[in-house]
Order: sequence, then C-alpha cells, then structure tokens
Amino acid sequence: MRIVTLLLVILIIASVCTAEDTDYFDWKGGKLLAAKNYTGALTYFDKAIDQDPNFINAYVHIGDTRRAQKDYNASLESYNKALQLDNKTKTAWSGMIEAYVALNNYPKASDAAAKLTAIEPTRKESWLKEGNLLQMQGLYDLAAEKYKSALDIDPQYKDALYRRAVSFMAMGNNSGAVELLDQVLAIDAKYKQAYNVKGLILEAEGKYADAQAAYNASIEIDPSWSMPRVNEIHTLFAQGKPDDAMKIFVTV
Amino acid sequence: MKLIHLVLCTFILSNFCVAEDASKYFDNLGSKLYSARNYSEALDYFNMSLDQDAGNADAWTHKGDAQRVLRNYNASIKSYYQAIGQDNKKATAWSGLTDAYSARKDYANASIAATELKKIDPKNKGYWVKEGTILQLQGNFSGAETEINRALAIDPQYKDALYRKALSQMAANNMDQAISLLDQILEIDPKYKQAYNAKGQALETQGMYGEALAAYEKALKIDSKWSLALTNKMHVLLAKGKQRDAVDIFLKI
Repeated sequence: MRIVTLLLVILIIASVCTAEDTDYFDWKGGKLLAAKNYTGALTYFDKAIDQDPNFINAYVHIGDTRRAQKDYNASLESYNKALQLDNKTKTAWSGMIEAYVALNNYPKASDAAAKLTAIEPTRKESWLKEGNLLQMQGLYDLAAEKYKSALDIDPQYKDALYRRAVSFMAMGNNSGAVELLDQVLAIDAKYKQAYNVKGLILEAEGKYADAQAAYNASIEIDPSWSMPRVNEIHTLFAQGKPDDAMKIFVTV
Repeated sequence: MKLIHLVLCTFILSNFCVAEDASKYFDNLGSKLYSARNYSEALDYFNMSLDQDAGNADAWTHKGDAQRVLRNYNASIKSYYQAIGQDNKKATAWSGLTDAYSARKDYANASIAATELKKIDPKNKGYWVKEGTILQLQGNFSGAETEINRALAIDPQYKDALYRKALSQMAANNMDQAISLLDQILEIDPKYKQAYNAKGQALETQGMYGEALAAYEKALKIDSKWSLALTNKMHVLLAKGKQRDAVDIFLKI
C-alpha cells in the first residue's frame, strides 16, 4: 500500500513538474517575442507544445510570433489550432483579426471580430472593432448597428460616437452625423477627427466658411496633421480665395 | 645650412600633403556612406576628414548635408557657413544652406542664400526655381513667377519651372493658363504626378468635377498611395454629391 502511495505521489509531482516546464517554456518564449527575437521565441513555444500538445497559450503565441514575422498564413494556422482546443480563446480570435486585417481580408477579419464580440458582449471595444471592420468593407449600416451596441454599454464612448457619425455621413444622414460629432466634442473638445469630419459634412452642404472654421479648429489641435490643411484648400477655393488656398497648397 | 632648410621644408610640405590626402580620403568614405543613407556614420568620417584638414570646404559642406538629413538644422547651418568661410563661392554650401533655412521655415534667410547662389551661377536654371519656390512659400506668387521666368528663359522645357509657374497662375486665379502650363509638363513627362494633382485642383475650382476626378485618378495611377491626391479625389466626390464614395476613400487615407 505504501509503495502504491509513493508511486502515486511521484506521478503527481512529475506531472506538476512537466506542467511547470511548459509554463516556463511559454514564458521564456514570451520574453524573447517581446525582445523581437522571433526565432528564439518559436523554439521555446515549440518546446512548450512538445511538453503539452494541448497547451493553448503556446499556439496563440506562435500565432503572434508568425504575425510579427509577417507570415500571416502560418499565424492563422496556429490561431486555428488554439481555437480547435478551445473555441472561446479570446486572444486567438483577437490575433486572427489582426492577421486578416494585415492580409486586407476584411470579411474574414469581420467574422473573427463577430466571434470575439459573441464571447464578450459586454466589452464595448469589441463592438467598436467589429463596426470598424464593417466600415472598411463599406457596410455602413451594419457598422452603425455595432456602434449602437457599444453605445448601449457606454453612451459617452466617443470613438463609437465618432465612427457612427462617419457611417451616418456615408449614408447621407448629415444632420444625424453632425449631432453625433457635436456630442463627441462636448465630451472631448480636443477630438480633432470630429472637427475634421464635421468640416467635410459642412463642405458637402456648401457651407464653406463653416467648414473652414471646423478645419481650423482641427488644425489648432494638431498643426502637423496635413488632412484638415488639405481640406481647407478646397473650402478656400470654393470661397473664391485662390491666393490663400495656394499659400497652403505649396506647404502640404 | 641651406640643405637643412630644404630638408625641413620638404618635411613640412609632405606632412601637409599627407593631411590633405587623408582629409580627402575620409571625405570620400563619408560621401559613400552618405549615398548609402548611413548618415550618422558618414558624419563620423566627415569629422575625421576635418580633423585632418579644417580647411576642407567639401567636408564642411558634406557634414552640413548629413546634419540636415538628420534634421539637425542649426548644426547644419553652422557647417555650411564654415564651408562658405573657406570658399565664398561654394555653390553646394549655399544650396544646402538654402534648404536648411527652408526646412526651418526661415524663408527670409533661405531667400538670401538663394540670391547668393544666383550670383555665383546665374546660368543655373535650378537656382532661379529654388528662389521662386522660397518666394512661393512666403506667399509671394508674383515675385516667384519673375524668378521662375528666368529659369524658363534658360530652358523653356524645364518642367519644375513650368510647374511652379502654374502654381503662381493658380494663385492669381488664372486657371486656364495654369492648366495649359500643366499640360505642357505632362507632354514632357507623363509621369509628373504633381502636375495631374494641380490640374485636378484647377479643374475642380472651375466646377469641372468629372475632369478633375480624371486628373486625380491619373495622379493616383502613378502613385496609388499618394494621400494628397486621395484627399483631393475625396473632395471632388463630395462636390459631386457622392458622399458614400467619398467616405470609402476617407477611411483609407
């Protein structure tokens, strides 16, 4: 009986030690990944998987490393292995989104983002991400719905308000867009992108002086941002001020 | 006694020659590194060159160039002045000085340096355009045109001068004249993307949105990632009432 007990204890200790080795290899790989030593990192992640072929984190980290090496297909393969072990691995879905974006495959990135949102529906950032990926595909109405879900969680979420305004603008709902942008600016008066998009909407409506004022507000926040300066050129020409327009034109 | 003097003179002269040769050698090495865009290391070699011969105007100029590329404009200006101190007619130093002042947005001093350049070599068309460009940056479009016309008198096919002249014409609201100049450039060089972009702007100002769009698209055909032309294309789409298409571009800029 004593011998059996002893063997059992040894077995448990050995198992624990093996698990510790796996964690160590993964941790060590993570350190090397952070130091951008990708080849070294992969060696350790592989060792972790040799120890434990079901070790999800190592698959995710291999995916991250391959993505850092711009080997996106290998990266996706590794994320998929992690997801085969556990379909709710958030880090794997998140890495997969980035890999698909890097491949300019927005439909697939969008699918992955939807999975992530389904896993964590109370996280506003997930809804925003999903919305942004839909916007990149020109699916402005669907994107607007996702932003609405983010705003249901946090009505003051300025990034979601801003992006929803961009969707509204694309759909021709200018008054709705301006209302949202004004909300953003009430929350954060330094949100330069909101002034810029407001300027574009005003310009589209032929309100050139108002558009120019909005662009100038954006430039005041960030004088090095070239986009509102280029935008201002168009409003100056539209107001019959070619000399002023060209003064900016030669500097951008 | 005469023999001792002769030996001493030969010794001094040979040392002088060795230092001068070494200075040129280091300057050449530095220039090679500069061409390979290894600016920091190039700077080390220019310094070594100047350690050997502080009167090497080329090394001072090249040091100024490297410092300018590294955005150390004040140091760059000092180096150019050292070169000019050695040789007042060193055009490359005046040229570098013009660019360094321009980069610092000190257009008044840039203009002074450009004027010196024209005095050194009035037949150099590039110097007239340089001065014209600085005047444009100061908002003096008519003054710029006078300088640019001098460049065109030297070479009527000089596309950079034609382009700058077109910009002055646009500032004066002479859009037809500007478009004609831009078309001249595009006949000389169909890959001159800036001409398509400016033409698009001139056409857009005249309300010719379809033609403006075509011009921006030609600029983008040459350089698909050029954000200026993309932004301009977005504006012409807004003007045409195509907000959705405009936003499609907006999200990609």
